[in-house]
Amino acid sequence: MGYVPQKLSVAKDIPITVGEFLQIKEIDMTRIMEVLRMVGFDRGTKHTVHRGSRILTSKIGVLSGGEFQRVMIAFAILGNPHVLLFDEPTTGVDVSAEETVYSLIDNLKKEKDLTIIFISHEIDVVNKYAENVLCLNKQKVCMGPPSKVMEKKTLEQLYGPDVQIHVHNHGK
Amino acid sequence: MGRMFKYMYTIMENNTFFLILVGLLVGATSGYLGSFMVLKRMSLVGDALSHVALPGMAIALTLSINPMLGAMVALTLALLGIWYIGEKSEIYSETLVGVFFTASLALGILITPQPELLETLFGSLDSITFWDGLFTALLSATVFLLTRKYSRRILLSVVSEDLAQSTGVSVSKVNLIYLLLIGLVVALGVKFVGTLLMGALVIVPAAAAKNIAKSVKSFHVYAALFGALASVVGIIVSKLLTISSGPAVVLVAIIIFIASYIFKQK
Repeated sequence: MGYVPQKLSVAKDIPITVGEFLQIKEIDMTRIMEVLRMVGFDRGTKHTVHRGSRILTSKIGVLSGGEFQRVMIAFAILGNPHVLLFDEPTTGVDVSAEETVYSLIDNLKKEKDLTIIFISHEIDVVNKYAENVLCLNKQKVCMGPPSKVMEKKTLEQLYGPDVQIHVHNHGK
Repeated sequence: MGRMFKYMYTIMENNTFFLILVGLLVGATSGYLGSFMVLKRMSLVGDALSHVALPGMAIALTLSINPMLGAMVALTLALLGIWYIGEKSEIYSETLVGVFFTASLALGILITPQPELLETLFGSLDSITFWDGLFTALLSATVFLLTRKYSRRILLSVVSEDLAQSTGVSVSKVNLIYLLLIGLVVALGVKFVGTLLMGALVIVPAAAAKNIAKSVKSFHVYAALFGALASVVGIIVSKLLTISSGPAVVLVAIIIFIASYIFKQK
C-alpha cells in the first residue's frame, strides 16, 4: 500500500532533495524518472524551472504546495502498490494546485488500475471523484455511492444541523 | 606480533599524532550523528545529554573502573529514559529533560573526586591511555558504520513518521537505535571534550553543515568533516597552548559555525 500524508505532517526544513527523498525507496533512477513523469513533472506548463530532471536537485522545502504533493504521490507509487491511501492530501495546498492533484489522482486510477482510498471532508470532491463513500463521524454514518447516500439526513449527521448541498457551477 | 604491538604501544602512548587520529574519528562520528539530531530538532537534548555522563564517570572513578565505561552506562540509562518518554507522549518532554540533566550535572560535580573534576568537566588529553584511544577509535568507526547502515531509515522517520511507518519502518526501533548510538559517541568523546561541552561537538558541526548544505548527502559530509576538523585543530591548539582540550575543540567548532553562517549569507 502506498501512503500520501498530509502536507503539514512532513518536516520541510530538511535539506533533502527530491532525488534523495525518492531514492530512500528506489535506487533505480530510470524508474524514479518514470514515476516523476507519471505525476506530471515533464508536462508542467507553469513550473518550467522544476521540469524534468531539475526537480531531482531541488530541495523539498522549496517546492510549491502542488509540486510537493505530487512528489509525495511519486514516493507512494514507487513501491508499486495496489492500494493508495491519501490522507487529506490537499490540506495546505492552494486552490489551483488542489485541482491538479485531484485530476492527477483521477488519471492514476484510470491508467494504473489502482484502488484509491481517499480521506476528505470536502463534499464536492467526494461527489465528483468517488465511486463509493464511507462517511464517518465517530461512527459509521453511511456507505455507498455518493449520489445515493449523500443526502440531507446523513450530511446533518456528519456536519451538524442546517447543512445543505449547494451545487457550484465553476463555468465548466 | 606481540613485540610489534608493544612497539606500537610505546610510540602511541601520549603521542599527539595518535590522539589526533582518534580525535578525528570521534569528531567525524559525532558530526555525522549530530546531523540527524539537528534534523530531529533535538539539539538541546543533545547538548544537555553529555552532562549525564558526569555522575557515571564519578562513580566509575570512585570504584576505580574506567570512567569511559561509567559514562557509557549512565548515558545508556538516560537515553532509554528519553526514548521511553518519547514513546509515551507525542512530544519530547523538554522540561523534564532540562530538570533531569541539570540534576545529574549537579550531583556529578558533588561526587566526582576533586582532583579529577576539572578534567572530567572539560576534557583532558593526558588522561587518555593507549587502550582508551584504541577502544575509542574502533568503537567510533563501528558507530559510524552502523549509523550509515540505518541512515535511510532514520532520515525517513525524520521526514515523516507516518510515511516511514507506511513503508514498514519501525520508527520506535529506529529511534532507540539512533539514541543508543548517540550515547556511545558522547561517551567516547567525553575524555577529549569533557562532559560539559561534549554535546557541542555533536551539535555545532552539524548546525554549521546545515547552513551550507544543498542536499542531505552534502549535509552529512560537511557535518562529519567539520566535526573531524574541530577535533583535530582543537587538539593541536590545546597541545600548543597547554589549555583544556574541551574548550579548544568547541571554540574551533564555533568558529566553523560562524564562518558557515557568513558563507550562507553571501
